Amino acid sequence: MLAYMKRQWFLVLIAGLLFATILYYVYDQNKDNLPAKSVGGKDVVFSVAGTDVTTDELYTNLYNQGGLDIIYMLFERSVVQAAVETTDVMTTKAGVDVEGVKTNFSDYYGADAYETYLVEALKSMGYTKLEDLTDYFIYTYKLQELTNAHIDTNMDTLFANFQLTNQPRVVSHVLVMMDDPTTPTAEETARFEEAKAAYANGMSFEDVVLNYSDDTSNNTNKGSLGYMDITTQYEENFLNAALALTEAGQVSDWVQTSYGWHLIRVDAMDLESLKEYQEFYTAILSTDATLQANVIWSKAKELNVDFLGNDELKAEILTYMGIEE
Amino acid sequence: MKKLLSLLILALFLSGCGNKVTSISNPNDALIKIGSTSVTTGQVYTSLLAQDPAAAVKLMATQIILNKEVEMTAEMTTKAQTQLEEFKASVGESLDMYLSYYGYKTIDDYYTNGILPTLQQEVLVNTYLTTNFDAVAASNQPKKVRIIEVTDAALAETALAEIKAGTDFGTVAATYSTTSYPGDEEIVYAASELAEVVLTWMSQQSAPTLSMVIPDTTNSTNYIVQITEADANKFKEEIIAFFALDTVFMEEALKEAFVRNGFKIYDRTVYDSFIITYADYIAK
Repeated sequence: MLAYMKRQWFLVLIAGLLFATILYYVYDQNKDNLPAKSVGGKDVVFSVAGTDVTTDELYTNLYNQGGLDIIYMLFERSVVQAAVETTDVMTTKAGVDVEGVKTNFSDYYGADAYETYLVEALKSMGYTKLEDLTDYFIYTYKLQELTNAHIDTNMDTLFANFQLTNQPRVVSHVLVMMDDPTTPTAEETARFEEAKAAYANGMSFEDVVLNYSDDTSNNTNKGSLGYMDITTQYEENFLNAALALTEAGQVSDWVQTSYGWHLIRVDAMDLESLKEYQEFYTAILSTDATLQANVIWSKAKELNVDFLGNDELKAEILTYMGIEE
Repeated sequence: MKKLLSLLILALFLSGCGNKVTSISNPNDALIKIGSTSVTTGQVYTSLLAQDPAAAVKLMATQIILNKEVEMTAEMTTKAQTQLEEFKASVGESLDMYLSYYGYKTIDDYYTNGILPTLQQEVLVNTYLTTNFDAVAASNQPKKVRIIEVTDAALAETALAEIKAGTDFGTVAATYSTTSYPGDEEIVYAASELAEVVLTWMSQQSAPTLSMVIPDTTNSTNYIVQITEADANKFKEEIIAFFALDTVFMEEALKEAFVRNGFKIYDRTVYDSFIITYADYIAK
């Protein structure tokens, strides 16, 4: 054997190196692995001081601390998933939103670290990995669709009161911008006077927007600011002037804010126009703390929710949702 | 040769197979059914684990260690009862609100899982500090000191001259020092929240002494420090009592207890969560 190995020394050397490489590979692959342990057929999650703690015991401990939050989250998600089908539009939109979020996180945390922060954010919402971000967005669209449908169904009872309290409307504006409206430059004053004169002499609101408005975010959209109501975060002068208008088509006097001078027009106040805006539905939702819960619960009942005889869990969920059956 | 080759091939197949994610006994048990979908205990467990289980695991393991290493004495039970009564008296009718705020379901829960473990942990950290006193003292350099802070440099020199002339340190402090430093004797150590210049000067002293005026250019002020005791063995009990209230030493004591008691994790998700904050607690 020894004589053979001496004759074939090169082959033996290569074989030895191969074995060493394989051994190192196996070691390297396993050095960070965890051993498995079970007791009485149950997985052990950790052991200390001679005591084995099973996964079941950890589950009970974790459940006592935040189990209801998790169960409700899973319950709500199941209801939404069962109630609304995923559409191609949702999938496409989710893809765009996922890329947007990734870009934002990457810009903020850096290209190397952002995934860790994003996964942590997802975990706080009950997801486990980066790939779940698409599911998260699709879920939010579904929840939105479900909620909007519920509000539409109950609009007769919801809208009258909401209209009184929130004064919803769709508005447009002209903005003649000034660096400091309290002490405008001669050029700014001249431009403002020109806009005032043009409107006073019969130029249409749309043309004033096109010719004089400095709000680049919407001056190609006829100056539309979209939906607003009493809760919208506008400067007080602007908000009061916009809410003082009582019918569609009405235009305010010129109003001063820290941005300059505005001319405000109410474009619509009717229900069908308001329904074009998601902000309208969001605003209705925000006026009733239990509305979202009622959306979920009424849909769950439609889907024959079954607590499998666990009345205690059912009562806990309803209490958590802040509603009574 | 063939056997060796077979073993190597088997090892290759098995490499990477030890990263276990544990499961509860009944992961498929449904808790709620909605149409054709269910919320199962397995889903709940996975979601609970995703919410950072490290703190809960540490707490559970700590309690096991405390129960093993710290026997409840009659004295501790009496102390616990006293603390309980004091707590009840202090919160009055707001008891339920406070219990809920601190995360306890009942007053018994607070007593069993709040007061008793805290007392047990006090014993654990005291034992740790007593056993490791020499090493703890050497690395933390505890000293008894009195400190005066005087913003104006000229006044600081005047204060120092008065101390050297025999005026009581406290009297000088009352005249010249800022309210943050009334000149009282206190225990400080290498990681105390003091100006860096003061910590540096103290680290160079090994016997009772009086400093010169120590200027701190970072915040335009001046310190005068009198070390009244530099030999840790001469006030050992005071140091232990002082350090025992410091969370740094509480954690050091726990860390050592975890390793000493062979703390091991068998689940990859729990392990990955645990090592982010508590890597040193795991027995190698």
